[in-house]
Amino acid sequence: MTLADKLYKILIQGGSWKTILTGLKTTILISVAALILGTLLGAFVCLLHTRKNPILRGIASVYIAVLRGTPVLMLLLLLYYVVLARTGIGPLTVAVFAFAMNVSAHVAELLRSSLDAADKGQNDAARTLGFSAWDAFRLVTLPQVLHIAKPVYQSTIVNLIQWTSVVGYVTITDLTRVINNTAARTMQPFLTISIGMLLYLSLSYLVYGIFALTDRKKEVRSNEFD
Amino acid sequence: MKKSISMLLMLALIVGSFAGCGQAEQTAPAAQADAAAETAPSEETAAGARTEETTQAEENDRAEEAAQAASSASETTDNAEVVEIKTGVLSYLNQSEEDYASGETPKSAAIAYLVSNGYVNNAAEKPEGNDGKPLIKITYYDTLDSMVMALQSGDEKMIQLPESTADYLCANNDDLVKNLSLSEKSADGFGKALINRLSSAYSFMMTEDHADLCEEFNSAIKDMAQDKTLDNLTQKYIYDVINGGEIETIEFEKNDGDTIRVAVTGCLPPLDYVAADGTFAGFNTAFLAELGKRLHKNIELVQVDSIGRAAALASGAVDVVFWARSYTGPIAGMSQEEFEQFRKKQRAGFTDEEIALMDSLHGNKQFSENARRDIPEGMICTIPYFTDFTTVVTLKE
Repeated sequence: MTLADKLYKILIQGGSWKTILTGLKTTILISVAALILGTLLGAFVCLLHTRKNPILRGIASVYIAVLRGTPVLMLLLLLYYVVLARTGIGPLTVAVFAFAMNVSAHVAELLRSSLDAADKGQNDAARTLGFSAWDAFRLVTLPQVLHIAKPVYQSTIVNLIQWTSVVGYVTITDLTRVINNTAARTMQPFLTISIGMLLYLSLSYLVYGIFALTDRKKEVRSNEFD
Repeated sequence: MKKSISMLLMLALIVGSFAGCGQAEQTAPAAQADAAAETAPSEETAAGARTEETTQAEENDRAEEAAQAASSASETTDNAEVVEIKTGVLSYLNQSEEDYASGETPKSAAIAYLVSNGYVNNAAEKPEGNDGKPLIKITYYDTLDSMVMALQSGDEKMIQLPESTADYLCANNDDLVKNLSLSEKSADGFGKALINRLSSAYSFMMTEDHADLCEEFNSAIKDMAQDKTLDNLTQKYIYDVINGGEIETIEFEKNDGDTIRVAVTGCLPPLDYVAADGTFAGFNTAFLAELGKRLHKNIELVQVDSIGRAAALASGAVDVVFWARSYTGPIAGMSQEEFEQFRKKQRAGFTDEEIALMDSLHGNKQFSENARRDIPEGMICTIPYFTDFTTVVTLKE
């Protein structure tokens, strides 16, 4: 069997590419949904963490510590097979929720450290100039926080995409699952898994590409002000 | 440009290191056992003597036993080098380490008998060293593809598989070869009984709460065996597929009956796999479609990783899983009474030597122990609907 034959069998025969694309779609869907939900949740947890109330702070600290310190697969299995087992909630929803929780802990920690790193003097200066607390945050602190957080946020996204490869454990057919199925069907595991890796790699580079694009836009805009 | 070069380099590195990953490295205690494929008949007596040694040992001092076995091996072979044959085994075929420790030696004696009497053809040559008695080092794999990769990369010397899967694997890979294959003669009396004993029996497993369902499954399986439906399905979905036949999409009948959720692994072609269009395929799937029709139930297939199956079953996420019973063989699903009858009837024509060989395969355990040996606590199994001889696949020389 030549390489071309093997590739034909893995990628094309019987509409195999459609199945692979469906798996890719599922991976992207879970990643994007978990990212949006997790970022919002993470911002909220970070908000709790910056409160003066020791109880709220404690809750946020424990939340971050537990979720950052445990594998997301355990959380996923616990949620799907134990906590939400008899509720009839679909596996996709549970997976999005589990990954959102995990990402939120990372985002909360990321935002907290970025807040610490941002120049507090500038915020105070803005307040003395008559900015409201919200305006000072929105116009002075937030842009700095986002700038500091961006590179780490980017790798959090790439990590998230890779972590989603375990959703096969809760009956979801994602990219990894489809690749495994194809490897078992064609009995060409080496080649099939290499193709799967290339697909994940291109997803990661897509994320890097998008971030690089936003960087460039900002440069153009800052040039306009010069 | 720089970026793409570094990317390629990275990929090459990762792909290169692939061979070693993805395997569950639970190595069995170096069980003093023979390579199933490579035992010569003249060694039967030595093998028999060693059975005692391995079965006597308690589970908790198995390490000690392994050490003893290893030392006894070096004693008998003097200066000969100890040859370790690395063998891959699928974890979901339920062959535990304990079974290997106590079962492999009589098993290889049985295979040696089958080969020397022409029931089974053996393509492998006798290994060198240790007087041709290599140590088997078992590694368990959770997926078929990782095990195949380990074989292809030379990590494993051989892998154990059901014959249908081995045929499928070899038909799709030019560089692999099946060592043990059943010959034409295998259909007759004692050979058949012995081969049955060395086969995996496929059944359905469910929790004890589903006792009624289990009964329904059992009677449907009996009916299907009687009216030759099972034979037709086996021919169409196993042998025809191996020989490159057309693969039909399997349709599940929708009806107003109860819904039963069944877990499939998609990881054991041609019994259980996922077709190119993403639908579930294979003999198990076809069998379930027929079962659903007969029992007037909606069968819903869910893909669960082989490791996740216990959790899925216990949590009620699925009602039924496929279960391979590798140790129990043909007595799977029999009651004590049925077993006695089966044994009496089967053994009427056997010689004392043959009966002794057969008995050694059951170990020292009572029927009640053996019958539940490969079923987890709190679970029940249906009678088997398909049995498949366990064979060995190696790289072509």
